[in-house]
Amino acid sequence: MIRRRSALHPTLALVGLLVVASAVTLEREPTHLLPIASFMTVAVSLMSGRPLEVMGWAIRLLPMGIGLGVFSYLASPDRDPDLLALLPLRVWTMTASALLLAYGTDPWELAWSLTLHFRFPRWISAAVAIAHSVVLKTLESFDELRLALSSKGILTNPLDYFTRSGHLMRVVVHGLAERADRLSTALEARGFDPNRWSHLTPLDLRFIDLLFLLISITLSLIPLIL
Amino acid sequence: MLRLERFKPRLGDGGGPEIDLSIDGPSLISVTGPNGCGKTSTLLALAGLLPYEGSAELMGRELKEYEPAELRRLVRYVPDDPYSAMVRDRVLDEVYFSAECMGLGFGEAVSEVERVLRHVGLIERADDRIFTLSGGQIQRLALASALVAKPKLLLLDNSFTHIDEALRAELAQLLLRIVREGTLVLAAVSDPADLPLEPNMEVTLNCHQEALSVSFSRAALNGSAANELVVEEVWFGYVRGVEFIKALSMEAKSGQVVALVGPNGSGKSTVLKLLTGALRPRRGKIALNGTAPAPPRAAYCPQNPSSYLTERVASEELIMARGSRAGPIVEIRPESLLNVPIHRLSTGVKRVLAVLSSALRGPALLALDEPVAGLDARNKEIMREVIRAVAELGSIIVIASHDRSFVRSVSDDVYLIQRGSVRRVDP
Repeated sequence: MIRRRSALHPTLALVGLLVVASAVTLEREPTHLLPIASFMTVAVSLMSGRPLEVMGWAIRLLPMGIGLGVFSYLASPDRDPDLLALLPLRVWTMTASALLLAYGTDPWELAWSLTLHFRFPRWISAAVAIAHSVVLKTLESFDELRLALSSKGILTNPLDYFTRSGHLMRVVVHGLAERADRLSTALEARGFDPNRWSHLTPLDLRFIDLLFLLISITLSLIPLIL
Repeated sequence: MLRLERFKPRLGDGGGPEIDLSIDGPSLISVTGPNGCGKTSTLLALAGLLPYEGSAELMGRELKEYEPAELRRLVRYVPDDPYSAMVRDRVLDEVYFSAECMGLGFGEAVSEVERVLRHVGLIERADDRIFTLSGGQIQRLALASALVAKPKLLLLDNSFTHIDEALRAELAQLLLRIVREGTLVLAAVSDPADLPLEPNMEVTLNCHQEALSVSFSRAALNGSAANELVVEEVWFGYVRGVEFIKALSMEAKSGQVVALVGPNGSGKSTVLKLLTGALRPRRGKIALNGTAPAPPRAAYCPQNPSSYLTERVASEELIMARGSRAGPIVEIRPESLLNVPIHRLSTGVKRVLAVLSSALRGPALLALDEPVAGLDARNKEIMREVIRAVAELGSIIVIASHDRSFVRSVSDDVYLIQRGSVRRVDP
């Protein structure tokens, strides 16, 4: 009945992604980065089951990568054309890694693995996991907030987010404070104490975890071998 | 079992009235009283989450003498709006989290979680995500999380306000079973009619606060133009191919109050959003005075009044709402409420203020989502008067509510929404 919620083992996913991130940061050859970026794209699409959503993230973030690439190209003394492809590939690989962690692991198990295998203090892990649930619930309520404020004439166009920021901040800050207050009362009533928190869900290893780690390391070795 | 002598939660400047009470065995006790009189503070103090004056003995021992962990096992508190206090995303994990907090070993935790999920009838939904549950199922999940501790005292804070008739009957059965198994249940309710079954004893908290009153200066508004809402064969769904609202048709004119009723999750809020232009129909037509509805002509006042109130104090909120209109439009008593920071007002006063603020903008259509949830009888009456007054000024009012007696008292037309179909019923 109780089983691991994360599609990827949280500790191995973290290790794998640290390896990928290091390789991506050190690598300067776009042709070497391409297989890592492709693998991460396929992995995150399969893991999320929502390839279109993943594509949406790419469309939103690639302009930033291209902008960075153009800026670096213009700023570099030797005008290295590789920079035009290198930076977009770096931005996308990092984004895909973060998405893989978000789609592939349960936030509570990920937080627990920080304590279990990386010796993070329990209260930090607990705060990470609880903050995740608060952020999700806040996003859920944001639609209703937007609708109420546009009804009131406070948010009628995108510029209002800046010109009416005082009104907005008051509602959002009070809303968050109220939510945090309720949550802390409820957690205390349930007897939650991060130092006693054990998270007993078994974090068992599966074949896919080892496969993911193996492919990540192999791909990250490409720059060294080549 | 529970003995209170001159018991009074200590909160800010004064807290609520003193309570004397003696209960010998498992039973259902209702705690009622006007909004802002200290019902929640009383429950929190009994749960060991607020300090108190006087004496409170549970199982022959003063509450203050219990170790916190021991008290959390004996006393469980289920908050108002339990969904916002849930931290996991699946049913099973949420209850399991409670077992973990108690420090149960893996095997014991698993069998306890299974036991309580069966007890509250959610075992079939154990692997489902919490956001897919209805309001009643979320209340049952909150109860399951509390019952995993096998508490002797269960404190329920306004747990029956967003519950439809069918789920009230279900919860009544569940409460009976909990009491039969040896738990003393204290349920705080703003309106005694909210409780799904007759309590064994009623505790009423009376405080000496001046009651809220609202009066309109109608001449100042000069009425609104004639308004007309026409909805023809509207179909809507959140997911392609799955129709959530089917063939909705309705009509309303200036001065009419239309109510939408139906089970939890039937689509009442969705219809309000369609009528105010926040959602667009897949098929069919919605016309407010001949054109598609849009803010600010079509205004929406959400369930949570805090999402609507943007000013610092009530007086500023009302000044902003009335805009350039001269002279007093609405008077609120006691006047001291006008200068209290909005976040410090009771939910009841905030709800009335949010409705006034949206009404004073003179919308052609005003949609109110659960306007009386959690209000005491006095504040419900004020809300009824405000809604009728705003309707008489020319607005069309559409409300979504679970409170059938309120709906009967305020509305001209009632539409029942069930499994996506909408039909007119007797008020």
